[in-house]
Order: sequence, then structure tokens, then C-alpha cells
Amino acid sequence: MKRRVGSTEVALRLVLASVAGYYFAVVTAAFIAAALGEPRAAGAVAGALWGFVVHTGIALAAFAVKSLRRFTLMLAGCASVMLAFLSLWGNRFYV
Amino acid sequence: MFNNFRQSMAWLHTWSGLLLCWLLFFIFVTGSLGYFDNAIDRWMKPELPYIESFDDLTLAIDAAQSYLQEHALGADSWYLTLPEPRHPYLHAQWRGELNGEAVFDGEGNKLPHRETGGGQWLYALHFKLHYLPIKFAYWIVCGAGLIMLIALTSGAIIHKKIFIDFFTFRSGKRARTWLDLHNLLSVSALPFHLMITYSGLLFLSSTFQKPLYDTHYGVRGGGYQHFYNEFFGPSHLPPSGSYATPTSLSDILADAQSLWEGHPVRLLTVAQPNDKNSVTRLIRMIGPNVEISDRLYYQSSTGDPISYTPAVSFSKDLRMLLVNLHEGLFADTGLRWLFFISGLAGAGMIATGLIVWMEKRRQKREETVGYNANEVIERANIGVLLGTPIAVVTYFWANRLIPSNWPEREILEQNSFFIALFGALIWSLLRGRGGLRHLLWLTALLYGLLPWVDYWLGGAGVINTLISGDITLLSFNLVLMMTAILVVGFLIKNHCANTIQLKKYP
Repeated sequence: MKRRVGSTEVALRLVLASVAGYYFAVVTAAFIAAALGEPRAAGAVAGALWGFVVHTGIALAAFAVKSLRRFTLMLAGCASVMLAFLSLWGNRFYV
Repeated sequence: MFNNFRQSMAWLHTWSGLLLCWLLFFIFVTGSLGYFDNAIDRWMKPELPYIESFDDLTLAIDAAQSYLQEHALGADSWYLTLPEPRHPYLHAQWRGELNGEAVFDGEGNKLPHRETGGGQWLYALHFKLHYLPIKFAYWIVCGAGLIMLIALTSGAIIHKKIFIDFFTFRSGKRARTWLDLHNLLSVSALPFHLMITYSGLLFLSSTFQKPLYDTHYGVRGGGYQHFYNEFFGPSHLPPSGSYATPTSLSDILADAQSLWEGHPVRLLTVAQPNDKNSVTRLIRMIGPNVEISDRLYYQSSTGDPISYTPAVSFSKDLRMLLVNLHEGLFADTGLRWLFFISGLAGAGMIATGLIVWMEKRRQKREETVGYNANEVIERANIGVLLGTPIAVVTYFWANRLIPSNWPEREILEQNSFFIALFGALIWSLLRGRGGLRHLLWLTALLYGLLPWVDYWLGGAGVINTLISGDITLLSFNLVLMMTAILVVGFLIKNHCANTIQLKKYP
């Protein structure tokens, strides 16, 4: 049975879908690009290809999960690991 | 959010679909027209003669180069689109501080034509949106693309019985009929919708995923330009500051064609034409193959080839495949029509989705007294859904009605598009469902009369194109008339249905 959806809850999920989705899309893309290494352009393209998939996936998940808190914590955990990886190795391609 | 996954997805599908549906409808209509940009160009430049085959490319290239050196040496780039069956002219454009275009025939004659944005402007609307700064437009279009991807994915998930839905059509049942039509249009072209949305996002990834390129290549030194040169080849070398003019472009073309064993070259570009480090880039067309990204680079001032090692990888091939599928440049006439129809099916899917949403709220709306937000949305829906095709045909009318020597007529043509769109929107906001009938009749009249008014104003018209065998212009005129017939058919059917209903329930 459908229940009435509160506007605050929708707003929270919308923020997660758009902001967290975008953040993860870019970070995952950079993560893939850095992990793939050479050729550098191919890595960037692979990152871009997956970035949009990740963004869509997170947007869908943000509206599908039952526990927003658990989902947010899970995203924060993943973001920390990815950021740690990028800060250690991601900048090796800087020109 | 809901008791089960499918319910959540249904909610998401509805609301994500509604969020930017008007913009997405606009993008789908103008983008679909882009598959016939050259045909629209030809119709909008009636001064260009009908050419069946192109005589001498060397002569035309030399003439175009002389013209460009005289009129556009200070431009940032030159673009020479070489003749092909769909566009049997040599089309020279220059961009940068100087902007302009010229068309040449096979004997090297510059062909005069009216100043118009043509099909190219109409096609570029779907990602440039006009009036807006280009980067801002890219962000908006990319956001809309992502929402489309979410709506498509969630839409596919909520269908329990996708095949049964596909073969079900219940006519005369208002919301149910529209929903069946929505399902039919969505499912029949779903692979196309997914491809076009995802590849569209890839096109704009340089803007939307800028942090990726900046992280990977560094902000200093132009992250994306660095990537571009690695990915596609050295299309831009750092300017030397020394003046030089390009060597013979026809010699460069001959050299490229011998290397490519006679495969036709599609595009020739010259970056920074008055600099010693100017680069000439050639892109070839490989028949019916999707891959058209084969490129060669030459130093423009000397004509020497520039060697480079292109990045080879699966991700590059996949990106090129998707981007080429999006553009459809490889497609022959039949496939082009399929792309066009699938694109219109996408627009239809969005339109029917909107109608379903409104129909479901109709009863509640009719019971409400006074101001009702749903009523305003319904009126705006009518304005946008009919305003867009009206705007397109008004653009064509403006092309014929504005005198060819009118100053800045190109801008006036473009403004007429948006005046018509906003005019239709305001009319439907003021008149409601009565406005729907007016706008439908207006659509039918504008589309149906245009080929005949064109003939009356000295254009080719239907009969002349039939006699000359000019299939491109004939098809253009027939599509206009078919659209009018479809709209009139819809109006008559709707009128009959309403009459029956009134007799039943007076």
C-alpha cells in the first residue's frame, strides 16, 4: 500500500541523488581513470563512461532504499576510501 | 520510501519525468530534426541550384581557399565540409573573431544564398538552447539528460509485463489509452532512447565532468585541451606568433586521399590559419561503417604530415561508437529515417507521459473551484507540446517571408522561432482547452499551407520537385503536408468523439 511521501524526505533524497550522485560520479570517474593508468586519455574516457552510470545508479538507489541514514553512512564510507586513494595516488598524472 | 522497490521506482519515474519534461521534449524534437539538417539547409537556401554530382573537388577547394584567405585569414578556424550525396556543395565556414560561411559548386563558383541559420541552427538548438551562455546551456542539457536516463531506467524497471504492455492498446479510454500509447512509444524505441541519452551525456562530459579532466590532467595547461589532443590528435599546436599562410589545401587533400586509398574525406579544418603552427585536420568517412573518426594531421604552412600515436583502447572505441551513433553521420537515407522516427517517438513518449499525468488528475481538478495549480500545468503542457512544432514551422515561414536582403535576417528568423513558442504558451495559458483546438488548427494550417506558399513565392514546391526528381525537397514538402493531415485527422476524430459523448450524455 502506498503511503504519503513527506516533502522533507523527498528533499533529502533529492539532495542525495543530485549532490552525492554528482560527487560520486566524478570521484569514481577519477578513481577509474587513475587506476587504469596508461594510455591516459583512455583512462579518462573510461572514467567518464562509468561516471554517468554511477550517477544514475546512486539516484535510483537514493529513492529506493528504506533507511536513508544507513545509505548516507554507506556513501560517506565509500567516499572516504576513494578520497584517500585519490589523495595518495590520483595526482601522479598532474602536469 | 515505499513498501517495495517497484513502487519507489514508479514514484521516481513519474516525478523525474515531470521535472524537466518540457525541456526534454524540446531537445528531442529539435535533435530529431538534426538528422535532416542538410535537407533543411537545402530548403532554407532555395537559391542553391540542384546539383546531382560534384564535378571537380580540386577546383572548388582552391576557390574556397582563395576566398578564405581574402575574407577570413584572421578567423580562429576554417571548416570545409566536402560534398556528399546529401549535401552536394563545398561548404566553407569560418569561426572565431570573424564568422561567416560560403558555398561553392564543382566549378569553383561561389553560390549566393540568403543569410540563414538553416538546419544547422535548428539542430544546434538541442544542446545550445540559444540566448544562454554556452557552458550554462551545456549544464542544463546535461542535467536534463541525466534525469532522462533516470526516468528511462526506472520506467523499464516498473514494467512487470513489458511484452504484454507493448502489444496492448485500449482505445477510447482516456488515461488508459494515453498510457498504452506511452508504453508503446517507450518500449518500441527503448534501445534508441537509452543510446541517445547516454551518448548525449558523453558528448557533454567535458563540461559536466570537468573535475575529472582537471584531476587527471591538471588545471594548469588546460586539462580538457590536453586530453583532446591526446585522444583525437594534435588539432591545435601552441601558436608560434609568426605569420604564415596555408599551403595548397587541395594538395593536402590529394595526399590524404592517396593514404586513405580513395575513401572520401568528410571534413577539412584549419586551426589558426594565419600562424606558422597552423594545423590542417582531415576526417574521413568510411561508407556504411559507424566509425568515422579516422583523422590525419598536416602542418598547414608546409603541407608536411604530423605524426602522432592515437590512444588505442576499448573505452575509446566504445565512446567513439556511441558518439557516432548519436550523430548518425554514417547513416544512409533509410537508417536516417529510422533515427528520425525514433527521436520523434522519444518526444511522443514524453508528451504522452505528460498527458497521462494530467488525465489522472483531471477528475480531482474538475471538482476544484477557483485556482488550481494542475489546471495551470495542463495549460502550459498544451503550450509547450504544440508550441514547439509551431515554432519549428514558424522558423520555416520566416525563412520564406523575410526578404532575402533584409539586414540580420538570420537573427530575425531565429527570434521568430521563440516568439512563436512563447506566443503559443501564452495563448494556451489564457485560453485553456479552447486554446488546444486553436493551436491544433494553427499547426495544421501552418504545415499544410507552407509548401503551396513556398511555390507561390517562387520556390520549388511539390510539383516542381516531383518533375526535377529532387527527392530531398520533395520529401521535405511531403513531410510538411503529412503533418498537417495527421493533425487535421486528430482534430476530426476528436470532434466526432466529443459529439458522440454529448449525444450520450447531453
